[in-house]
Amino acid sequence: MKRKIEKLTPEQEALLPVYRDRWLGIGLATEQEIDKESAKKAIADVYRCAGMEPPKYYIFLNNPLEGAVGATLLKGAQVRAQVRDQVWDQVRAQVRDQVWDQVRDQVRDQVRAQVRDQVWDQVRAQVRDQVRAQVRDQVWDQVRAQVWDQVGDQVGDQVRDQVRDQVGRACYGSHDASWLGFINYFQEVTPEVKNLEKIFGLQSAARFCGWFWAFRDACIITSRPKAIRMKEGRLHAEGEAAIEYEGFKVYAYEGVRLPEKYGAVHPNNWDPKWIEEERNVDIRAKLLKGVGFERWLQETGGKTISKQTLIGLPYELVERQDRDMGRMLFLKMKNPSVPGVYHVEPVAPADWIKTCEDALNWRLGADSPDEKYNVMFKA
Amino acid sequence: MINVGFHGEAVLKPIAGLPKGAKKQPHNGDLIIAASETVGHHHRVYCEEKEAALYEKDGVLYLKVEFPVGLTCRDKHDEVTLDPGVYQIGAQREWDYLSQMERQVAD
Repeated sequence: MKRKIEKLTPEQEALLPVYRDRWLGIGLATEQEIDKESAKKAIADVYRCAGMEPPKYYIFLNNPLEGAVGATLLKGAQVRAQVRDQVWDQVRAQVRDQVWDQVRDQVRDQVRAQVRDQVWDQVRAQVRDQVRAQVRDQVWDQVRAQVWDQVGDQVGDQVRDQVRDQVGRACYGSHDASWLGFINYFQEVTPEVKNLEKIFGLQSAARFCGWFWAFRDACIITSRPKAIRMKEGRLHAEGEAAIEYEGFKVYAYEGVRLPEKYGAVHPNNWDPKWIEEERNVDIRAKLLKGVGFERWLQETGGKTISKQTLIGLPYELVERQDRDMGRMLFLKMKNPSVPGVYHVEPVAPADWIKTCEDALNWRLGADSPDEKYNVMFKA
Repeated sequence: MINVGFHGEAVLKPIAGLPKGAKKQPHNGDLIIAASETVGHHHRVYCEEKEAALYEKDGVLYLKVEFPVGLTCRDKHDEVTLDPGVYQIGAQREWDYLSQMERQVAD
């Protein structure tokens, strides 16, 4: 029996980030217009790699929401056509899932677990963190949410559920980058690992297609996003979509998906009242971060429990009860160097903090009322 | 009673002397005692090496002042004169209500 790969050489290890970056690039790629000819060729390769004839019909749609609706309509066509033949069968299992199972098993058979884990962690996991966890999953959630909001009312629950189901029946094209990159590493860096050719079609589709829905004789192909906006590895945009397709947008702030009513507005213009109205804790936290404590307190108020002049400057200790965050304390102070500017600084909600002086001492490091600080200067 | 001075988010505590093993930092005439992480408003002392120097031990900075020097922060805080002595450099803290954790104030 052929020996498994036991260890990567230093040269092979040095290539791990190269493949991570390559597939991050593929996974986060954007396009203004899909290259239809290249996309068709890629999809034909997907089918051939699965041992099937390429589809007869290629249907191009703008975004995953249109794709899911289109796939639902084709499923309806399948039901009607079943009398004659099976040409509209959905074949995702054959073209995607089984191909993955097969190439994954090949890697398992030929590469020791330790090496697989190393490539898994350093190529696949890192691409997955951004491409799948941030982009694909957010698109997934947004499509399902939008179907719930928009499709249900118009055509009834049954169709709505079918469209939502189609989100999970897609092949994700560029957004499948993480595991395609994992296999690509072994294909090119460890050529002694054989029988991985079947993945080629899906890798090609990742380079030219967004989400696609595979049927026996037809394939719905959607475009990749026109824009993906991120900050520190998380989806983030201010006043514009974080993922933008023709006719479909996902808004997000630091990785949390926002409804359009917030996301389309720049945080500088967010209304502090939204923080009180919002019921989703994660969204509320981002609204609060975007608005800032100063503006939130200024516009929605709090109770002043202490007023003192410290170091010659007026201070106020403001208390507020919040349904999610409990008792909150803020030290409001005048900027000693810039006239007319006040700062609101959050202080721990400790029971012993009852005065401005207590709060100031806490900010300087005190953990009890017995610890006192003498401020020599402040600027 | 503990003596402190603060300059924006930076806190300076006068202490008796440098801790044992504190390592002198390279001196380029511009001692940044608290770097601004966001907007470039560093708290700094422009001085000659004979006037003041920075030291570090276990991740904590110390400023040793031999002759009075000015602590500045461009356009943001008034200049403060630091008298000779050793100052331990820290930062004010704040409570992050979103994560329910304490953290150092960052500028």
